[in-house]
Amino acid sequence: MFRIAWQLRQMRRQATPSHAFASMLLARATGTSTPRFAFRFAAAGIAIVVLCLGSVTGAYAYASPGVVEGHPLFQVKHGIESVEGRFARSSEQRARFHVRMMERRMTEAERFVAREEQVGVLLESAAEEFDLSVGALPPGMPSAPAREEIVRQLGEQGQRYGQAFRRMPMHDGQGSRVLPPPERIQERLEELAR
Amino acid sequence: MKALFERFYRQNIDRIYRYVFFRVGRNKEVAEDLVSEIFLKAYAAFSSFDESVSHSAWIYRIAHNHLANYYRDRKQTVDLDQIVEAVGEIGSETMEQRESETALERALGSLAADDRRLVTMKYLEGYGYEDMASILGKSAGALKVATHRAMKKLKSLCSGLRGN
Repeated sequence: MFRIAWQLRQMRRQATPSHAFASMLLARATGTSTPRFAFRFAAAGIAIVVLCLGSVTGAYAYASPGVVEGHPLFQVKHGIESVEGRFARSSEQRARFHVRMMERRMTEAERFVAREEQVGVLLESAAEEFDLSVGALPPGMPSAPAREEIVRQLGEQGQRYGQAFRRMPMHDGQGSRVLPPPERIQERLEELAR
Repeated sequence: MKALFERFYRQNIDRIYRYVFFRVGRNKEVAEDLVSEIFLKAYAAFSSFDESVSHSAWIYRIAHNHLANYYRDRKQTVDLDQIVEAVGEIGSETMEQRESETALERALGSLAADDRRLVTMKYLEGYGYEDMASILGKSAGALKVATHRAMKKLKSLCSGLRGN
């Protein structure tokens, strides 16, 4: 049951238009020519990273666990993280990236421990990063030590998730979240360790 | 105007694509064709856009009408609010390629139309409650509660289907 929100998000992710289609359609609609997609993507990405990280504001937004959804700098942080994610090309890089993102969400959740709704959102996001990281880890990838390290890091974050999860009052009132229980994360970690 | 449209486009392309995608039997080619037509239509009318209507509500209405026309031209009578349930029939070719229909999809199809609409808007299409409020003409708070209730019903239906 707890997997429903996650399953729906998986379906949503599968229903995302490709970058190539989205870029071509925009160019077609506005009558502008598009530079080669890869170049455009790289240039835009680098520009965003330079602009954001080059400014004190961007650096603060990225580094501060206090910047979460609803904060004025949240979009800056979200943008930097998205660009960072786009540069994770290989399975290993993607798995490591999602572990980092899970760690960030957990740090944020631990900071906002008194705000249940905020913690619920962050834990939901952390669980999603966990799934994405596991999903990027094909069997035997890429070498045993790297895989073991990623699984160990996931285990650490899974423990933090479990602690934060158990602190949440599990009522069914407005705003409560459909969160995967820590046992599911533990089961998946055990599967990975086999 | 191009810059404004580009911003509008980037805010809405994913959600409108998903709105169409889940209503054409998850057929990527058909979805891309229809979404292209929707945004070309939107660009043509963008300069006369009524600022009193939210952008999300405006493009959602265009997409809804365009899909209705698409089915009308194909001489298919479809209630777009019921479409998730109808996916199996309309997109049968695509759906048959899938290994099996999951309990979740069956449960989603069993939900009341209003509940299904809330769940699909929030979780499948990715709308926030504020955008949903401007599209559906209800308060964000009321929609949040209603969506939560709809999710509980969905969970209950899923459990029932898995139990059978």
